[in-house]
Amino acid sequence: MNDNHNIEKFFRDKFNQLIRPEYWNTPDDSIWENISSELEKKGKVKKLFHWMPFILGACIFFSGCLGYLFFKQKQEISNLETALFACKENQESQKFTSIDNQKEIKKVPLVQNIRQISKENTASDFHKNIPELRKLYQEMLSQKILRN
Amino acid sequence: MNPSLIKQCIAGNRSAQKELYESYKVTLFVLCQRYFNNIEDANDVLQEGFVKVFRDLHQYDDNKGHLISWIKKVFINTCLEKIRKKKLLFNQISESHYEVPNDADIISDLHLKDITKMIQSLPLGYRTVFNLYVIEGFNHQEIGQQLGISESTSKTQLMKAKNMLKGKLETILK
Repeated sequence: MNDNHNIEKFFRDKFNQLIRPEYWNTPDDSIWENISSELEKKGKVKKLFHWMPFILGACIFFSGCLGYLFFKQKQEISNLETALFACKENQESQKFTSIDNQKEIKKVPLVQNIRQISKENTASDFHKNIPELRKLYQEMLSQKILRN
Repeated sequence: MNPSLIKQCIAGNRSAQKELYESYKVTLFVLCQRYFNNIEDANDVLQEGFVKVFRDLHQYDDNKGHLISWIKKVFINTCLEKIRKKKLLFNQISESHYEVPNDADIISDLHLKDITKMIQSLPLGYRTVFNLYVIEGFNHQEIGQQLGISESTSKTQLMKAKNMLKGKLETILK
């Protein structure tokens, strides 16, 4: 071992030879068990990632449906509010003046109903009366009250 | 290594993976022990390294070399990651930090175990540079990049490591 080059060669040769298990202590059996359980965990995560696009797709679909329903309901409430407002205005301007008696008879109970609901409910709990208002709204449309 | 065994390992066949583990566990255990002088760290790296090997085996290209060379690269990187995490690399160079192996163990016969013990007795910084340069065949520029040190630091660490080992060998071979 006179020079550094020989030292390098000595160590390199020693480690590049075939390592026989009988000359070396083998790793503990628990190592393989740990590796195996680690791979198992990674496999499960991988499977979850495999399904992730489908799960995401389903989430997007359901949130889209919910959003659509919510939007539709909002629109309906807004329509009913508009109808109510229009009805109030109509009632003020048309008060038994230029309308013929037959029409008047039909409109009065409707307008009264809507006014009653309007008095009883604030804007925030307006949606609670949606079915009732919807019915009135349809009737108003059929009687052409809103178009006036 | 049998190509079908590699394919089975990639497919996640546990018994094929165990066969591959059994084939290389000793060679790689020796490699881990060259970098770490305590058995717990060597075991940790062995475990972590094999998990990485099985996870990334699909990236292995048999046209670029033998499987064992690729596996060794994965293990060397794993060892270096652990060394970097420890952040002890070049602080641990005072004489008090390394243990001189018992000569009685070494003199009997210079088996690989004894040689490994000599390498393990080096401070972590010397040992890492020595392993990378002499055994793995990296150059100083590559070592500098891997360890985040300058080329000249790498050269100094190697020189000190070789002087230390030379002293130990001379004592044994007298």
